Amino acid sequence: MSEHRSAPRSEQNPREVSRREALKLIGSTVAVAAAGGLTGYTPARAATAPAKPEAIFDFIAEAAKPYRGAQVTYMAVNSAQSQDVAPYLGEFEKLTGIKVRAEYGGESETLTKMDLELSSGAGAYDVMHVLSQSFARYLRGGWLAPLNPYVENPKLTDKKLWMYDDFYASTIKQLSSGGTLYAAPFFIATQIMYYRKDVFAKNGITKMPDTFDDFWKVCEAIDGKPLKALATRGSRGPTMNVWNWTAWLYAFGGEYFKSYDPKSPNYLRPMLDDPKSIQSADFYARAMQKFCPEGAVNWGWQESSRAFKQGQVAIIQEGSPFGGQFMDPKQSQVADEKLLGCFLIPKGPNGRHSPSASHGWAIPKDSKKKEAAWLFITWATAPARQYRSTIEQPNPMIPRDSVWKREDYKKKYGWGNYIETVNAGLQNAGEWDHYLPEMLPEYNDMGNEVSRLLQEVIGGQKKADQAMKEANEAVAAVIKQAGYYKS
Amino acid sequence: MRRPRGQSRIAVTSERSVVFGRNLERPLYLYIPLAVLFLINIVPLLYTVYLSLTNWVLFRQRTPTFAGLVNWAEMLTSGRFWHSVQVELVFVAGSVAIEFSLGFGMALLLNREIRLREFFRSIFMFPMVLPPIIAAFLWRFMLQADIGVINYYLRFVGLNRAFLATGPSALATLILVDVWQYTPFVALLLLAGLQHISREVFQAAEVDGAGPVQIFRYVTVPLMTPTILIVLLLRIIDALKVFPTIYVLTRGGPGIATEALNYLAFLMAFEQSRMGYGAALSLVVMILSVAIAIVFVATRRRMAGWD
Repeated sequence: MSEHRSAPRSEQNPREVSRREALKLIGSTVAVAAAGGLTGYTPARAATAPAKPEAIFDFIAEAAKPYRGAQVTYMAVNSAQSQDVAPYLGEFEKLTGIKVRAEYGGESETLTKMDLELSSGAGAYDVMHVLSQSFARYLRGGWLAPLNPYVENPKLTDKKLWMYDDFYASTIKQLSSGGTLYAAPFFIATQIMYYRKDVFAKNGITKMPDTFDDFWKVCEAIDGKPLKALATRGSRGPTMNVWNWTAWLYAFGGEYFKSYDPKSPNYLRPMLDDPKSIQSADFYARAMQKFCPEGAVNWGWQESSRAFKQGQVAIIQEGSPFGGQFMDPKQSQVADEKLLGCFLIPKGPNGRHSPSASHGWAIPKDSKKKEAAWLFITWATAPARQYRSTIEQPNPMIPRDSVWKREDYKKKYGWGNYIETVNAGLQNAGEWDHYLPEMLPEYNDMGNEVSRLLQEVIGGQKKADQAMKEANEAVAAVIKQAGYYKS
Repeated sequence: MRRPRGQSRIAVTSERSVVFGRNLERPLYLYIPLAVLFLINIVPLLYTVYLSLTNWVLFRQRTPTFAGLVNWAEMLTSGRFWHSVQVELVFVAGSVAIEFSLGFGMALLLNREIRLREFFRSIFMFPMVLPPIIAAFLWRFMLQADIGVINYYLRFVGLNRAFLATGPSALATLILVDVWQYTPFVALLLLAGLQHISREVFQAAEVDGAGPVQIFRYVTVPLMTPTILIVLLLRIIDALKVFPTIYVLTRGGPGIATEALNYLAFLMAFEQSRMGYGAALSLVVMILSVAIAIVFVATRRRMAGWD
C-alpha cells in the first residue's frame, strides 16, 4: 500500500472519498487501467470486429509452432464460467500441439491451494483462474506475471483479432494494476434479484420492489403462499453471506471503513458498528429469519440456487450468471419465461448498490512456460471462442461487448427483462466502484471475520449491535496486524 | 558354503553383514528407520515449532520472519482460541463417551452366540470403512433442512428441524456423525479384547455365584482394562484431529459454535494466510494429543506394576 495517490477528501464526511476515489487511492492494489472510459458496463474502447473472427485461431496456430509438445497446466475454481473452456481443450491441442492439463476444484479448496502453490514459487501451474476478490492478495504477493509484454508482442498476440478493447472496461480495471494487465477476463458479474412471476401474480404483486421497504412488504405478502419468499446466502465465508449482504450494507448507508484515504486519521478505521451498518445487518438477518426456508443460515450459493431451481422459493438474490442456469431446462424446474423475471437489488436510504466481480486467466510469475500459457489464454478468451461457449452453454456473462451485441446472444438470453436488468446492475455497480474492501489483500481475513459474526446474527445467537461491534473490532485487528495504522 | 552345525541362520546373516570389519546389522535395522522417522516426523514438527515463532503471512512475506512468542501470546489471550478449546473438549468428551458406551454394548452383544452374528459384524463395519470426507458429505445431504431424508421422515412426527442452524444442535450433530462412524471401530477392538478372555474365567465366576452385573464389574472390566485404555487413547487422539466433518457440515458455524482447534488452525493458516499463528494452533492439538498419550501410557505402566 505504498503507492497511494492523493485525492481530495472531506473530513466532515469521510464517506465522500470512500468509494468513488478509492480506486485511485488504493493505487498499488488496483489502479485505474490505461484504457479510457472505465465506468462500468462499457467496452474499453469501441472495438472493430475483424472481418473473419476465426482468423485468430490461424494466428494462434502459427504463433504456437515453437511451443509444440509443451504442456500447459491450469488450475480453476469449478464453476460454469471457468468450465466453459473445458469441452474445447482438444481443439486447442489439435490447433497448437500444446497439451493442456486442467485441474478444477471446489471454490474454497482451490483458492486455498492457489495461495499455497503461488507462494511456493514451484511453478507447477502455468495458468490460474483469478477471482477479483483474490486479485489484490496475489498482487501483494508478487505472484502474477504482468501480461502486457505478451499483449504487446506481435509474435504472440494479434491485438486486432484478439480485440483487447472489446473487453468491458470494469473487468480490465478489476484485473489490472497501475495500467498493467495481470489476468485476461473471461467473466463479469453483478447480482440481481430473480423472482417467480406466477407467485407474484397470484398474490397480486404487479410492481417490482424498488426500495428495501417495498421489498419487505412484497416478501410479507408472498411468504408461504405457497413458497417461502426468499433465498440468499447465509453461510460463513468471504464469498457467502457477507458478499450478498454488502449490497444491503451500502444501501442502508453503512460502510466497512470510514475512509480509504491514507492521509486521513480515519484511514481504514472500520465503521461496522455505525448505526446504519448495524441496521443493515439486523434487516438482512430478520429478512432471512422470516422469509428464507429453514436452515438457510447454512446456505451458500449452491443451496440457495438449488432451492430456486427446484421451485421452493419465490425470490433469490444471486449472481447474474445464474440466469443461464435458471433458464436451462436440464438444470432448472422453473426454466420458463412465463415463470421467471428479474429486478435490481432494491435501494436503501443511501441508494442502490449492485456489486460487481470479474474473473480472469492469469500466468503465475514462476511458470516456466509463459509463452505457451499466454497462447492458451488468448485462445480461451478469443472473441469467437467465447461467443461459441456462451451460445453452446448456459454461460451468459462473457465480458465482451461484441458478444453481447450479437443477435443470437440476445435471442438466447433475452428472456423477460434479464439482459436489461443485468445491464442496469452492471451500470449501477460501475457508478459506485463497489466492493472496495475486496481490493485490499486482507479481504479474505476481513470477510471471514465479518461473515462469521453476521451468521450469528442470522442464526439468532447474537444481536446485530453486539455482532457488528465485534466485527468492527475483528476488522480493526486485521487491518492493524497488516500494518496499515501508523498509530 | 556349508553352515557349521549349531550356527543359526541369523548368525550367518550377521556374518555376511560384516563390512570392513564392522557389523552393519544395527545401522540397517535401527538407524535407517530412525533417520526416515526423523525426516518425516521430527523435521516437520521442528519446522512447525519454528513457524509458530514467526510472522509469516503468505502474500506479505516471501519467507518467515522471527517474531518470538507473539503468536503464542496472541493465542493464549484470545477468547476465540479458548472457545475453540472448549468446543474441542466437548466434542471429544461427547463423542468418545457415547462411542465407548455403545461400542462396549455392541461388543458384549457380538461376543455372545447370537443369530446372524457375522452378518451384523459386517454391517457394523460399513461406516468405519468410509473416508471421513465422504461420510461428511453423505450426512450433509441427509441433514438438509428442506430436502434431506432425515427431515423427510421426522416431518411425519413433527420433529423436523434445521440441525445445523443453531450452535448446540450443530455441535451435537457433529458428535452424532462421529458416533455413527467410529462406534463400530470401538466395538470391534473391544470385541477382540473380549474374545481373548478365557471362557473358563467367566465359568469360574458363575460357579462362585456371581451374577451378570458382578461378572461385568469384577471380571470383564478388570480384564478388559488394557484394551479399554488402548481404545480410548486411539479414539481420543483421533477425535482431537476432527476436521473433515466440520469442514463439510458447518465450516465452524453457525458463527464459531463448532470451530474446533483443528479447524481454527486451518482457517488461520490457509484461509487467512497466517502460517505462524496457524502453526501455533496446530501445535496445541499436538501437545494435547501427546499429553493424553502420556497419561494413558503411564496408567498402563502403573497397572502393569500392579500386575
